[in-house]
Amino acid sequence: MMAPLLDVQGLEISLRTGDAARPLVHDLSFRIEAGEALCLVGESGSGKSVTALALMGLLDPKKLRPTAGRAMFEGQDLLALPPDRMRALRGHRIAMVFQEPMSALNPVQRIGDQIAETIREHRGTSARDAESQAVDLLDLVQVPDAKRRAREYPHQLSGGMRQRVMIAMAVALRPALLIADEPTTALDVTIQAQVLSLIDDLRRELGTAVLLITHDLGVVAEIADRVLVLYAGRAVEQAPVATLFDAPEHPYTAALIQSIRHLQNFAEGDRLIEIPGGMPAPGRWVEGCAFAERCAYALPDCATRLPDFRRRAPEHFAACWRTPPFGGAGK
Amino acid sequence: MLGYVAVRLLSAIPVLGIVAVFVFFLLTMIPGDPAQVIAGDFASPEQVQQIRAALQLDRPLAERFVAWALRLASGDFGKSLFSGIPVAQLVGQRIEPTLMLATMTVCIAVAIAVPLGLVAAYKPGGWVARASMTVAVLGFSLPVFIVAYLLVYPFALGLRWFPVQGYVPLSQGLWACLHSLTLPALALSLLYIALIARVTRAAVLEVLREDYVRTAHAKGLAERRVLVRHVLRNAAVPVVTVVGIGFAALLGGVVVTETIFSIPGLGRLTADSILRRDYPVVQALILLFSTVYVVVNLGVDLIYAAIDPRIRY
Ligand SMILES: Nc1ncnc2c1ncn2[C@@H]1O[C@H](COP(=O)(O)OP(=O)(O)OP(=O)(O)O)[C@@H](O)[C@H]1O
Ligand SMILES: [Mg+2]
Repeated sequence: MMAPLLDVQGLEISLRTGDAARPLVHDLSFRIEAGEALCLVGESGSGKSVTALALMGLLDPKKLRPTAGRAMFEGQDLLALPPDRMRALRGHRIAMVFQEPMSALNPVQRIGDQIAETIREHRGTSARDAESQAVDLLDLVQVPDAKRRAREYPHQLSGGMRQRVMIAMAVALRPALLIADEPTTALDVTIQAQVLSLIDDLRRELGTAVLLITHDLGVVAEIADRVLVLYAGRAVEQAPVATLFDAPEHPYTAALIQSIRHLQNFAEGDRLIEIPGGMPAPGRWVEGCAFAERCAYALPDCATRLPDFRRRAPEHFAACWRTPPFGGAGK
Repeated sequence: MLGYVAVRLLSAIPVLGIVAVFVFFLLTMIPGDPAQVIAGDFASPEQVQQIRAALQLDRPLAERFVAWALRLASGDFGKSLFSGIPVAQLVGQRIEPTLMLATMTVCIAVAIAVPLGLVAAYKPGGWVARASMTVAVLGFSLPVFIVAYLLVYPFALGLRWFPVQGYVPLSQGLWACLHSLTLPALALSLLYIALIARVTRAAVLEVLREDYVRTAHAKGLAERRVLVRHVLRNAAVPVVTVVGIGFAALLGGVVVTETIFSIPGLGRLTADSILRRDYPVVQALILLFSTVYVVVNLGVDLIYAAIDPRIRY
C-alpha cells in the first residue's frame, strides 16, 4: 500500500506563556490520501487554524509551535523541515487559502502580479510567461475577462472574485495538497456555493488533495470524503462522510448533526452552535473528556478519564467511553 | 490626474494670496515709524528718509498695498534695502545651494533610515533594532553643530577627505558639488535618519500584522521579497509623509548648518535679512517658502497615489 500524501502523527501544538508551554492541540493524528478531501470540523477555538498553520510552517514561532508529533508529507516531516526547505514547499507542493479574501491579498499589487509572483518564485519563470500563466489561472478559476482583471487591484474585485484569485494563486503550481481555512465563511451565501464547487472541481481536475476547514456541516456533506471532528484541541471522531452522518460514534458529532437537522434539512450557512454550553477555554481543559460537561451521555468519571481515540469500524474512529445510539441532543 | 494637479495648483493661489497679504502687513505691524526701526538706532535722518521713500511709507496704506500687489504679480519683488540688488536676483542665487543640500540630506537619510527601520521592526530586539534606537536618541538629542564638528574634525581636518567649509556650485560639476556638501548633508541627516527610521519602524510593525503578509509567506516567497514587495510598499505612505515634510523644512534653509559650513544658501540669507531688517527680502523669502510647502505637499499626495492604487484623485 502506498504511503498517504500527508500522515500526521501525535501532533501537539503549544502556546508559549512565560516559561510554560500550554498545549492547544493534543495528540492529533490523521492522514490524507492523494486527491482526497478531508474536512476538519469543530467549533471556534477548537484548534483548526493552528493545525493548518502548523502544517504550513506559518505559526508565529514566538507564540506557537509544534511541540510533539510528525507530519510526513511526500517523505519529509513538515514539522522538522529547515525553514528554506519548508519555504520551497509552501505555495508549491502545499498551498493555503485563507478565510478573509478582503485582507489576504496585497492591496497595492495587481492581482495578476500576485499570482505570477508565486510561479516566478518557485519556477524561475520569466515575467512574461508567468504573467500569461496568471491569466490562464484566472480563467481556470472562472474569473470573467481574465486578461483585464489580471491588471486590476484587489479593491476593484468583489469578495467572491478575490477568493477565486486566492484559489488561483494557491493552485498555480498544481500543489499536491490544498489547505482551505473556512474559505467561504466571509462570503455571501450565494457566492459560497460557487466557490465551494470551484474548489471541488479543481480537486477533481488537478488531483489536488484538499484539507478543508469549516464550521458548516452543509459544506462537509457536499465536499468531504472523510471528516475529522475536533473538540477543544483533540480529535473526537473521524469517519467517511456518509458514515459520520448516518452513524456518529461520538455524542458531540451526534449533537452537531442533530442540531442542523432541527433547522429544516440543511439550510445554507448552518452553524455548529446550537449545543448548550460552550467549549472550555484552553486554560481550563479537564483531565478527561473535554465534552463531558456538555454531554447528555456523560458517565461520572468521563471528566477525569480520557477516552482513547479508538477504532470502531475499519475507517471509523472515535474518542468516547459510550457507544451509540445517541438519540437526544446535549444536556 | 493632470486635472487634479491643475486644480491643486490653482487652489494654492488663494493660499499664497493670503500669505502675501500677511507678508505685506508684516511691515505695518512694526510699532512706531517703520523707516526709523528699519534704519536702526544710528542712522542719519537722510538714511531714514531714503528708506521711507524706498518703501513709499508716506503714501496711504491701501494705495501701497495695491501697488505692491501689482508689482508682485508681475514678478517684481523690489530691491534689497541693504544692498540695492533686486530681491529676485538675491534670492535666486541662494536657491541652488539649499536645494542641493536638502536633496542630498534627504537621500542620505532615506537610504540609511528606511532599511534601519525595516530591520528594526522585523527583528525586534536584534542588534539593528538596538543600533537604530541609539541613532534615534542621538539624532534627536545632539544639536547639529556638535554633529558637524564631530564630522569636521576627523574627515576634514584629519583625513582631509572633504573641505572644512564652502560650497562648489553645480556649474563646476555634480561630483564636485556633492563632495563639497557631504559633511553638511551628513550632519543634517542624523536628525532625519532618526525621524524616518522611527516612522518606518512603526509603519512596518503595523503592516507585518496584516493578513496579506501571511499570504506572501504562504506563497513561499523569499523573506527579502516579502519585506520589500509586500511590507515596505504598504508601509510607505507615512514614510513618504515625513520625508516630504522634512524636505520642505530643509528647503526653508538651515541656518546653523549653512553658517558652520559657510554655504551661501537660503537659510543664511533669511537670518541675515532679518538681522538687517531687510524687509523686501524677508517678504520674498516667506512667499517662496510658502510656495515650496504647497508644491512639496502636492508632490507627496501624488506619490501616495502612485504607491497605493486605492487612492485616486
Ligand atoms: N496567536 C495566538 N496566540 C494565542 N493563542 C492563540 C493564537 N492563535 C490561536 N490561539 C488559541 O488557540 C486556540 C485554537 O485557535 P484556532 O484559531 O486554531 O481555532 P479555530 O478552530 O480555527 O477557530 P475558528 O473557527 O474561530 O477559526 C484558541 O483557543 C485560540 O485562542
Ligand atoms: Mg480558524
